Amino acid sequence: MHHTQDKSSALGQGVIIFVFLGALTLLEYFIAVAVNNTPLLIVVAIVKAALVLYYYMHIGSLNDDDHGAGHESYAYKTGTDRLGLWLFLLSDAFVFLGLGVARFNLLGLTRPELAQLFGLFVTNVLLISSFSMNRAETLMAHGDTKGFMNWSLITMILGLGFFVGVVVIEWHTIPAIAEPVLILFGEHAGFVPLTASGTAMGAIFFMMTGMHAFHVLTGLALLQVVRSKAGKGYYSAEKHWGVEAATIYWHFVDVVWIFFYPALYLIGKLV
Amino acid sequence: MLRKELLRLAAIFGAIVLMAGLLFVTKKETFHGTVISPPLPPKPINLTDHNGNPFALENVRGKVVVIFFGYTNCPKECPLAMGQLKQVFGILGEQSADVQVLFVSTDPARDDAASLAEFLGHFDTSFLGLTGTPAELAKVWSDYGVAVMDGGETHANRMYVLDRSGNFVLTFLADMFADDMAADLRLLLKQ
Repeated sequence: MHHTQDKSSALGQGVIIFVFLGALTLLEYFIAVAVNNTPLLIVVAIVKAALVLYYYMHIGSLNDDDHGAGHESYAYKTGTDRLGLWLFLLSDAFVFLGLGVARFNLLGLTRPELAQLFGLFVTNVLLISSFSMNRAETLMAHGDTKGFMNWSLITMILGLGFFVGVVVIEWHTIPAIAEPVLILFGEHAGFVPLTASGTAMGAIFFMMTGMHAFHVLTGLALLQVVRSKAGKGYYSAEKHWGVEAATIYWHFVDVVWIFFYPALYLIGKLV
Repeated sequence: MLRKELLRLAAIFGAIVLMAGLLFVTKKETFHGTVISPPLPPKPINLTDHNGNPFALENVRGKVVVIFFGYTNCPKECPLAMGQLKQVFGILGEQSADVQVLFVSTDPARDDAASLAEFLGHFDTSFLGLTGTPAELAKVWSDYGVAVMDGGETHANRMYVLDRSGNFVLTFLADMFADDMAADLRLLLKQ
């Protein structure tokens, strides 16, 4: 990534975008509770996704000009790599789009009964991880490997927190852990969890959250690979495509959740 | 980040807040269930509850009352309707303390106090099962327009809702959204 901004303004931009994303997430929760207006919830999701795509994933850098650098140059190669990554993400997005279409086809404007405050909590954990990843990448782009190591570690911890939150707690995989946590988040005792084989609602819930959680897991693996290389001094301010690729992938997983969260938790009515 | 960009983001955020606000302010609070207009005065119910105590409708005056007619051996509609009401109670939270669910038996031959208590215990311990002699029940069924046939198996699949003063104001079809039922009950609780 060519950093056209100085370090402090690039970091500042990350904070501002994070504040907007957080405010929009709270706003969508209140829209769902107070008016439950589906078109407005979709608008909020699109705005959030656009902010991440533009400011965190730097989609505009697809247009970067390598200023006539030769085909052997790092800048030129990064440009083609970047295009390849975005093409991959586009095809991956169709998998999630298919799941989203299945959800609206099967459930229409109804939604499963889920622990609302817990859903909001894990959503924010993932959102904060996007912020810390942006910070990690920005620091790397300014040659700060130590800063990158610290903030990417925070990202991994938050990502792991999201993964455990969904797969262990929201799925009731280990009821002895899940139940007290969900009750702490205001769920009433005796809450009957969804089952994957019980209903179409359960099946689509597990398929959507499962497919997404698996992407979180692969994102964590990718981050660990990049971190271990960074630890050996593999990346510099000028050459850190690996960091950029892992970052874009991480934000992509967040963008998917930006749509899946309202689709599962907010849009529609309880049957 | 440019000031112009920041202003643009703030404007988008403001527009969404404004839209949400407009939707909230113009939101009409109407019932989702079928409204009985004008409300009908309640027909008395004098039966025996699942604890063996005599029950009269006046006992629950001041609460919003939801009446469902069914029988405990019912394989489908009755447990579904009770499950639905359990979910509604979950949505209402503490407010559910002011709602009384009555389950009136359509099968006095098989439904006794113990089987009603056992059946309703699966859903919510505050739900009250009511039964009585065939003659007592027949009067309640006919007063509420519930046709009971085939030894109790055929019965209306609606819920009858009385407001706090005991007027018959709404009916719910059992397959309504739990959210919508809860919204209607909240509206009645405010009155």
